[in-house]
Amino acid sequence: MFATAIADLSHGFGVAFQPHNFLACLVGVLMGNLVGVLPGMGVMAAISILLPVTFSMPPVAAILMLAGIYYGAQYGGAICSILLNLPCHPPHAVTCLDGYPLTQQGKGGTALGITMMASFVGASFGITEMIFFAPVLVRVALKFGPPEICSLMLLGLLAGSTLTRGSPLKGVAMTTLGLTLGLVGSDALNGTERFTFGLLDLADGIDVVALALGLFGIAEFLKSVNKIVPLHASRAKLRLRDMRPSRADIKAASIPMLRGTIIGSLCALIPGTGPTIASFISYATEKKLSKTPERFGRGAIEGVAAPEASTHSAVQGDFIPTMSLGIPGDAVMALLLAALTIQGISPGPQLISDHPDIFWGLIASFWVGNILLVVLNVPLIGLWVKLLTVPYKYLYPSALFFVCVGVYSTNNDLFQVGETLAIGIAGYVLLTLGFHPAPILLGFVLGPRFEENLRRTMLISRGDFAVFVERPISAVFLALCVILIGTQIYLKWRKDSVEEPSAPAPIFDS
Amino acid sequence: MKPFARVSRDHYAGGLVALIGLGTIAQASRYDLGTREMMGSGFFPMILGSVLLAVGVLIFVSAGRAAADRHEGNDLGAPEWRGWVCIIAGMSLFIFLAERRGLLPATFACVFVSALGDKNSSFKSALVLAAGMSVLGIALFSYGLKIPLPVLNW
Amino acid sequence: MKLSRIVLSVILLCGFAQSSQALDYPTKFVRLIIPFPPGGGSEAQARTLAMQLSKMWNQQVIVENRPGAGTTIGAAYVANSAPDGYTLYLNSVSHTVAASLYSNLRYDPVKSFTPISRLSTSPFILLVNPSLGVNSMADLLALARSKPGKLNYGTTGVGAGPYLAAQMMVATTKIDARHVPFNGSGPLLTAVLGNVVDFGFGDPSALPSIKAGTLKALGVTSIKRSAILPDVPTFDETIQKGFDMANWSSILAPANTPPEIVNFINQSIATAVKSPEMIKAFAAQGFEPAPSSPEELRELMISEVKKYHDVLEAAGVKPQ
Repeated sequence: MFATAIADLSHGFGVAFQPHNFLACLVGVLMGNLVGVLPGMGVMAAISILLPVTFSMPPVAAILMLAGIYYGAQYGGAICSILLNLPCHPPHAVTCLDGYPLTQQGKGGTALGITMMASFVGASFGITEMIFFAPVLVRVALKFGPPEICSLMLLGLLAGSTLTRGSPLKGVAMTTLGLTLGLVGSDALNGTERFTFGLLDLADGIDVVALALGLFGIAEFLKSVNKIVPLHASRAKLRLRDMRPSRADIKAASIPMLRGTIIGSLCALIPGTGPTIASFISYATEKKLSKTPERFGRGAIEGVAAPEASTHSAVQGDFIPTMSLGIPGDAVMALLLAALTIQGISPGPQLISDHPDIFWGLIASFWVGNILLVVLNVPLIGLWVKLLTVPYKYLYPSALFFVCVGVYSTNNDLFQVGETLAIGIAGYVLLTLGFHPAPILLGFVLGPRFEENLRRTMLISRGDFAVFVERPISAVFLALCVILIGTQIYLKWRKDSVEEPSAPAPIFDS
Repeated sequence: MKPFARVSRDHYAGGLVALIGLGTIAQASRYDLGTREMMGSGFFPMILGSVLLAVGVLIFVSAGRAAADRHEGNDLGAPEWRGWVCIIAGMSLFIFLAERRGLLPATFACVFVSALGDKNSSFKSALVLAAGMSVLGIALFSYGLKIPLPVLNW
Repeated sequence: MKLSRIVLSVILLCGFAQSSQALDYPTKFVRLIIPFPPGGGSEAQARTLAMQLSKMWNQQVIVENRPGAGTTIGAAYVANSAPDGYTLYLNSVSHTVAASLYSNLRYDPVKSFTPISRLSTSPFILLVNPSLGVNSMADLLALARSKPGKLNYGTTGVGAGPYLAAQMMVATTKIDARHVPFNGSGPLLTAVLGNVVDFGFGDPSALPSIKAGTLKALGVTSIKRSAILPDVPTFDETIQKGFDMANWSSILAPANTPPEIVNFINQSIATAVKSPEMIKAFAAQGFEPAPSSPEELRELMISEVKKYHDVLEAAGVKPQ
């Protein structure tokens, strides 16, 4: 099996290095990267804009280019998250947690460098997994029925609640708020409209891009306007030396990177929410395993490396069910498959045998594309960091405009720009009250899935909760949940008993 | 526990969360709860509302006790009306103008008005920035990325 | 370059001599609105059609996604657009279902639009996992009757076409099985593949899995056997005479669009669906080209709105 895989792969490289395919891949990753940098301009918008261009191309080149846009945008998205605290995808919200503090300390370049490394490591692992284990993984993925998805979501939600700085209670509050926001729109099981207050525009729920950019972008502008002056002075003194990750940084980041990669590849088995849940769980894992968890949220390099690696590993993993079953895991994958059908190729279980050029060419191009992205981005880091020397009075109005257009472009709907504004104002109130917005995004993304699958599980099991512990995969996730809560309580108890004598001195943070 | 010497940030925080919880419960009670086997639309929102209410109360109760408020000096700070009004107005103008009048006036208005929110920016610098962003925005979004908004629709 | 343009326009002019002489359309780009998110339902259909029309008209036809609220946001957008032929709407059966699902629609599904042409039809498909061990509709019905209340069936979501087909089948056969809704056809197929449900109602996106043998098709819901699955019997053959429920897509324009433009577009569509590119793309997705006259389309819309209203009422689904 391995020998044939290697042979197929070398064939794939042959395909990927054909000049026009290579060019398609290059154009794709370049476009993706640039569009990804623009806050709010999501992958979806970029792909659907470029889709018509691919009609006249041969199928292999077309799919290589579109896939390149997808993972290229992931690289680009990290840049805005780290430097400007503007995540347009939920997974990048996790990167913001430590990436932005690093930037504020003048180490934005380091964070970007580590991000590139982590992305490459994660992606490479995801690709390797795709080559050798795709058939096995697909079988495992099909074992993920409603109860398993439910338990995994619960684990992700618990992990998410404990991941930001400050009181865990506030984390739980924000996760729950996110879950509640996720309820807005049509009930997936019976179509009842909930929390829409009669607005048809809310029938499909709040848009995730509007939520992310409202909470991180608009809320941040409202908070920082006319208050950012001292920070800006320190930004001006950027030295090139500070931009390169030091040996110590790389050492600190390498193990978390690997752990993140593995978590990411496991989470990829849940189509759609894979990257989000992977990034949150891997961040929480690093924080739990770290000897100095208090550094997290203040610029811990591991806090950037692990989630980025796991996001990229999950992003590549997303292609596994898509390409081997022909069933798209999320909207982007659906668009890629649509591109294939427009070319007259029906994706499905027989794609690999019927069109080996497409499948293996695509896999080989992943590597080619990822290397291209690293090569492109590393020299650009210096340029991106220069962005920070732009005075805030120019930066925020421009960013505000990009947010407006970006949110509009996701669904061509101005209502969602209004949504972003409203969410931004609410987010500002939450920020000033000491809440962190990242768990809101997690709850929002996972909430609907969690509820749907809980209800489906109950429908199928005829109301029997035992199903969650009877199914082995689900039982393992539940056990992890118990361990997570257990350690949290134990740590709290130990801290309290140690702190007791010195109670008057205020101890901050969990 | 200290007496209510002052109302701290966490009192507001807890109160707000509890209030959102109450609102969620109120709204959820309008939907069908269903049974455990066939959960209705109101089942999960009801649970979430209750959790929010409980957590809100807990935050409120533990507010005065921990000194968490003062950590990292994250004061509420003085209100920044000029910045707030300009940012909100700038974005509202974009929403109002983009489809009616086109991307160009929307961009200009959005950038110009929001730029005025910064104390350091003058009328002139905001004008220059808005003009620059309009050119860049039209080139990038209308011609480059083909956003389905008219450029100018006066 | 210039020469080829001229040659192309001459060819085009010959092809549409009658209509384009009298008609100054299109003189600028035309927008084709689809009420689904990118990658959703009719994306590939819309894109291939847009490509063909662009070529024929020598004007850009741009596909625009206006998703939301069971296609009603896109429909409302089109209904409020100028009736000048520059805003077209590609919709699916959901358009006629939405009228019975939403009470607060800002448009009338028939009167707010000018019908232009039907575009394609496709059946819904009853799917089982081969490991269930049933080979025909009769087997499945027998199994369901031997275990009343025990079997689960999946659909792509309440209000979607497969759901309506399922309601019609359950009502006709009077079997007692539990409905488990999923969110779209991807999750539904995964659920049938993973034995989460015993049988499921899907759309032609299941075709590759059926061909690969990982899923088994027991029946199609259209009145006639489908060209994409000629060996699969219809519900009309196996369940009840006259059982007819199929997906169809069509092109509409806002109400009061001038008839000459409507006829011009109608003819263009009739030509476009015969192009090899469209035949190939439709086949890859399991759609059959099915152009019609504007009048036929209007009648179809009226009868479908009524049909789904009755089905949903019988199933106890109330409009929101």
